[in-house]
Amino acid sequence: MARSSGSLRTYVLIRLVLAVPMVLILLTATFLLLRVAPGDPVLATLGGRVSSERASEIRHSLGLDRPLYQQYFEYVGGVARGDFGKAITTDRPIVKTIGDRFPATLELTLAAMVVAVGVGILVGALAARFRDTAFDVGGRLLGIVLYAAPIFWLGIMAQLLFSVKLGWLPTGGRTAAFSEPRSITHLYTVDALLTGDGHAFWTAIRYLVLPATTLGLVIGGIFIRLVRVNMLQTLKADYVEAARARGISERRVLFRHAFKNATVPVITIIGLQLALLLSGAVLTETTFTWPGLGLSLFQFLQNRDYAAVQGIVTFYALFVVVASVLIDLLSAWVDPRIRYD
Amino acid sequence: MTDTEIRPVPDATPRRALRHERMRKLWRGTHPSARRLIVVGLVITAGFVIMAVFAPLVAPYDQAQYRGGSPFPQLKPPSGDHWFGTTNLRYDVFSRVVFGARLAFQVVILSTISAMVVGVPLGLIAGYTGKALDRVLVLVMDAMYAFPSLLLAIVAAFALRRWVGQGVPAAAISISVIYVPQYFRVVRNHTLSVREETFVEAARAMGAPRRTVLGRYVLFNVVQSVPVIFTVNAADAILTLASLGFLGYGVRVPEAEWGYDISRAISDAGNGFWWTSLFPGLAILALVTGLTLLGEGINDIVNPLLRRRGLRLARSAVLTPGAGQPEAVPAVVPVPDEVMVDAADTDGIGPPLDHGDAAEAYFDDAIDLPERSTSPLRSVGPPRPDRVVLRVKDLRVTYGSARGRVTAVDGVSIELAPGESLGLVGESGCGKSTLGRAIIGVLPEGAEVDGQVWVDEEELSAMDAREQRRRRGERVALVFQEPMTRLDPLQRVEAHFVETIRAHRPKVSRREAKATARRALAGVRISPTRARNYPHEFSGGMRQRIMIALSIVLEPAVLIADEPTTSLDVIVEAQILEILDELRARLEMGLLLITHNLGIVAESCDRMAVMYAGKIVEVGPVDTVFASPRHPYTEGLLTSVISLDTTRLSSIPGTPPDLLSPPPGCRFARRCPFAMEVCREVEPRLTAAGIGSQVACHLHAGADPRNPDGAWVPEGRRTSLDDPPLPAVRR
Ligand code: SF4
Repeated sequence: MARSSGSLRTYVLIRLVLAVPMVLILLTATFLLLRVAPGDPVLATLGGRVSSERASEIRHSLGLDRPLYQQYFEYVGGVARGDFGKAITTDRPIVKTIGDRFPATLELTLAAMVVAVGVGILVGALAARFRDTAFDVGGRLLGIVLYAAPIFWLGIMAQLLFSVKLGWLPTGGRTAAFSEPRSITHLYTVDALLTGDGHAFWTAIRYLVLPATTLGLVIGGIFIRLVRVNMLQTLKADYVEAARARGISERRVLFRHAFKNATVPVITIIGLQLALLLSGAVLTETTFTWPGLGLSLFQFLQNRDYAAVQGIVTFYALFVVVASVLIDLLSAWVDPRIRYD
Repeated sequence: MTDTEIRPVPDATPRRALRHERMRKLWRGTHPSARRLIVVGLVITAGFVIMAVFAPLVAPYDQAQYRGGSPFPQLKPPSGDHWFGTTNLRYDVFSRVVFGARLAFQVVILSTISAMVVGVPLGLIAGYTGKALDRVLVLVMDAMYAFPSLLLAIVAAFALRRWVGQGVPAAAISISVIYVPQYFRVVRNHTLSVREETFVEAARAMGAPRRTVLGRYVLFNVVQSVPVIFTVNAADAILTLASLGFLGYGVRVPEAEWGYDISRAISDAGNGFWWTSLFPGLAILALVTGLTLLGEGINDIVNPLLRRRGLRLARSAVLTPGAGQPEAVPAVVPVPDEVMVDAADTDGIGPPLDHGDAAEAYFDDAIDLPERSTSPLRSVGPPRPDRVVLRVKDLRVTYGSARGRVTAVDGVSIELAPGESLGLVGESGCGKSTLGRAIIGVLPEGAEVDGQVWVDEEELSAMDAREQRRRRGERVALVFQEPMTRLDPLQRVEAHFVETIRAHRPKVSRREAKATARRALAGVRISPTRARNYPHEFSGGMRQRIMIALSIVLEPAVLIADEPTTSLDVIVEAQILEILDELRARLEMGLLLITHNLGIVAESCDRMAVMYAGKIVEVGPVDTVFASPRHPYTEGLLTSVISLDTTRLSSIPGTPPDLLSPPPGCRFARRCPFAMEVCREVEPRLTAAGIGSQVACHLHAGADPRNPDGAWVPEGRRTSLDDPPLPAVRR
């Protein structure tokens, strides 16, 4: 065991070191796109709404009047200190916005991931098991159609049906007024459970169901396809055949050998879908006015607030890199082979 | 580009014809339901293309105006005048959906072109120069790829707005940012691998500038992967465009764009006006579905052609750590290489047969000089003929393949006594492995088995699936050829044993099972302390010993070992054989040793059976067969072993017959130096020849059912049992 934990540590180190250039590249790209591209950010944001003195004042306070290389180093340095800048329109530090809004995004994406993995594994594994039957074709088609559905459209359709026509669920928002649970994790459902607040929990769930299912189904479409392909491959694997040859029951062969091996890459796939999940969250939050970071981004986009957009995008970039490192470590932990590669 | 006389494909015409032929085969090889999906995709996509091209003709009204005098009513439900109703702004929904298709295709095409314009040259440069520049570019592209694609497009659109404003070009460029890394990667990987290939060097030696040759080969290869990338990207681009439009960063209003129209319809939906959002969304859904079906279809068909190549590319080119990016074909999930090979070999073209062009491999492999009497391992004692642990009667196995049914095993009968070892030899593809698998009942899907199998007085072939499974591993076990992949990589070695033991003896506790596992491991000379290790921590030879221990842990009556040592080196091979012998003696197990190595048979078998083209042609005690082979084929096998002293192994010219439509008469006739007329007409049957021996050849009495007492004699030869062995067969 000493050997494998040692190599796991090396793997962690290598993975972390590799993440650094990735972060730098993303920061540089963001900077280039939003700062270096021609046009003045302050004017673009505020247009003719402020006097030119006020505009240059803002420019000065944001450091936009300094040479570009200096701005670049300040930007990178700021990010390293956890400073994502200030919104031009609200004059509020982006970090505060992130702190307020990101938990909602996290709650939505986690719930969506549960839906996606559930649907994906169930349908995907069954489709593989009953390969080339009507169920398989249906499952594959479902995977494709779900992926092909624009998230925001699916959301609107869900609202039409479940909120407007049937009146079962609320159209948008995160919870009803005065139903917020006491904050611990800032995830309403979790907090409500932790504080034992049944009413708050039920309300939070009712608000969460539609957005999470919408986002989860679209991502689930991808999972169906990937799980199916993986499962087909592990069903053909040599060790599965060998297990059959030892007289292991088909059920056990399926679950213990084929399925388990098919789900290891799924962890990696979750990592790969993380980017898609965040993109999808922006759309879902906009559709359901879910007060997450994506909705903030949308609002800042509408207001053309360059500084705020830059700050939020930077945060997303960091988040994606960190999360993908974590996912890699997780799969290295599950699959002993990875550490040795 | 002056050296036009150097052609990338010197014999383009036959190769193209060949490819078409292969394509046709692949198409036919795909499952009917899969084919139907491709057709559906094609129809949908074509429908949208027509709609986009002829939008002004298809749409009853313009996208943003109302023809004629009076304006359209506001938010009118679908009717004869307005099939999909009207919007808040009094537009006709159907017309906007039609024009939306036009806009979508404009953006898709423009974004693809701009992604290629940037991605292809960058990929060429990176792949061509290699080194630091390559590494930096790869890193940058990986980072871009890892970033949420929609956010990337939004940032680009956001920045571009300040610069070039909003509209189709801006949207197209924003979206193309997402696809640059994909084109980059495909081109780079092709370039990198092609650069190393010898034919480029050869072309260069003939005077073509390296750059020209490279450029052509790479383009040739990239062009092949473009259709798949394009369809997949197009589907994605349409979704991204709609999302940009939804967020207000699509194209300029009042141009019809599906995503934008849906964003305008949110409030309608809140008030129960469903038609303004439903139809644009359905259009996106249908088109993206169509494109995806098409892309997957093309992928399924084209990919097997590219896959082998892609595999090599993947190996030579993926040096970037942490890159989760799909290789050459983005529609394919990133999977370990070995699995891909497997899939490529078997997908849609019937079950994997062990046939192949390896006809010669047999003879080249058979290098061990048989020196049988010196082996100390054969002191097992005489088999007890009163009991039979394995009896196979008239076994027939057929596979469905794309070209028809193949009879891999054709009426084989064998018997095995307790403690006896029977060597089953034959070339690759003769059906010996299939026979082993058929006995234990693990054949690929689509195989049909006919005949009887008894193990230990129980007829397996008469049992239902459940009962059969119970005997598997318990009464009859199988050791496979390649040990590296036969253990579940995620389970500890010990877990395999516990699982196997408890599958058959549920009453045994975990603890006892583990103890048994350790004893079994010790029995194959693996330290019991390593029971808790994972399979990848063992070498190939050790894994094979583990597999053996796993097979015999329940002390089966019969052990089938299918080429158990082929993938191992000679020293390990000796170890494994020794262990098998020990176990056989100790457990009084019948051993069916399938091999192409006569040295192994000589070393550790009591009897041997020679198989050719699905049939047994000769059976007998090893000593007898080695001393005086009766079948010309057996003789050929032995000769090729014995003539080792010459530099080149002699072998029997020719290849085995096609099992799809085996010739009448003797299957060896085409290669047999003694073939007579009767051999091509009448199939020789297996008849007794000497003590404990049987042979199926017209040179021996009784083989011709029409002439049960006599043998056929080729011109110029005498044949009787007292004859000296036939002369060596030489090329
Ligand atoms: S039957 Fe005829 S062709 Fe066949 S092996 Fe005997 S002699 Fe040769």
